[in-house]
Amino acid sequence: MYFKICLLFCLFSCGRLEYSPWSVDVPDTKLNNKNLYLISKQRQEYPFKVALLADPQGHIQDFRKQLELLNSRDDISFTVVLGDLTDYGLKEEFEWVLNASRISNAPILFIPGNHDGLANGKKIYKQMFGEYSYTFNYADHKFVMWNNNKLEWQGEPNWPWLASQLNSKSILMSHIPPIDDVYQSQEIKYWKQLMQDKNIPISIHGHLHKNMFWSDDIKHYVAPASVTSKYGLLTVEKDSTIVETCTKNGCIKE
Amino acid sequence: MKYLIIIWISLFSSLSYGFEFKTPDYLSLQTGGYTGFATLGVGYKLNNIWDLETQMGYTPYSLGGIDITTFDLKVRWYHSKLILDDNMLLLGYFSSTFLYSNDKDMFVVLPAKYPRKYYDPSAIRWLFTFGSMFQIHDKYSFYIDYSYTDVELTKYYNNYEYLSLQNLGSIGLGIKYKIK
Repeated sequence: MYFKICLLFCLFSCGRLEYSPWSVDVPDTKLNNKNLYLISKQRQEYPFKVALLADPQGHIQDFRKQLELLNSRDDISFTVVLGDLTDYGLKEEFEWVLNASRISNAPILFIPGNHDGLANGKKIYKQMFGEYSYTFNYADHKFVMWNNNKLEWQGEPNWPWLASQLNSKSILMSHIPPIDDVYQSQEIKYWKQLMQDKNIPISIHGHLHKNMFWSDDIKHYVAPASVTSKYGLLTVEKDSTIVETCTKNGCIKE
Repeated sequence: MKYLIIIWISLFSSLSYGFEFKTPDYLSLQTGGYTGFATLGVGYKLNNIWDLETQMGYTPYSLGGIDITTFDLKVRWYHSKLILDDNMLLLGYFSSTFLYSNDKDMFVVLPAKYPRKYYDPSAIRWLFTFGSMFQIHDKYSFYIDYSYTDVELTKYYNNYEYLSLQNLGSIGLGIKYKIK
């Protein structure tokens, strides 16, 4: 009998010991910085392709399958996950995404989504992935990764920062597209005017969970959520951009 | 903070005993199981198979990355009992816990800045626990249990090919001291 009791206690003791669902004790990995370094070491030639994933929140299995699908291609220069890695901003949710992303053959970059700013998500995101907004160059193009989650981050969006980063070679990526109800119409008008004035080639987003493409004076693309098993594919040529939505059966040009 | 603690304990006592204060039946001290590094609690034995307990937990910066204070309300159901000796019992139980943290970045009621029904409350989590309690003395019991959060269980349901129950949840260890 006592042996069985000891066995029972031993079985329990094989488990993890966690103190709080809201803890933020994550390793200081700053994954974006590491992958930006890998990207900077690539031969940066036109045309190049960027895989676009969005909103893996709670669908890690599908996210991993998307990465496996991308690994079967050899023409992806890097992958971008366009925010909403989590539903509740919990450490564990971030860890699931981080661990799943390790299988990616191509360097993978992240931007924060509105859900990632919940609870202690902002602190965890910064430690795991790095800065909320950042830029980098690839060939002659400039990628502007912009944290525009205005309700969850105090002081965002940083319009002067955005205005200072955009130019005619800037590809803008942010979680929230310029059509969402969290933005007031005046803000959207200003944002669109800014993109038009700078004559950027395309703006790319997540948040809406389904792929969308529209063009006013600027091309806009919304990448599908992981749960749809689709992904976006951006092909950048010296003077143009093409965007496609892909499944395991092939890609359709938008 | 102290007012919150007083309100919490008073509310718990009132709810559990029809607005008439009764001395708790037992005290508990726990570590892990998502309620904190050190969790102190008081509880009432409702009958032979049900306990109602409230706890306050604390996790220091060195373990949680930030200081975390939590309050919880736990219902425990004893589903089995094994008599080992005159003074020794092994009890199996399930419990459900309503866990709350008062961190400034979290909310129970959706702040006005968000659109209606935009988010679920971020300051509340539910825990689902199974465990064993080993009573070795009239006054003392030791328990060891395993808790899953509502998020872990729902995400496991959606990602069972990727997530494993063994890599989710948390062990909890505790002592229960009978006052009466």
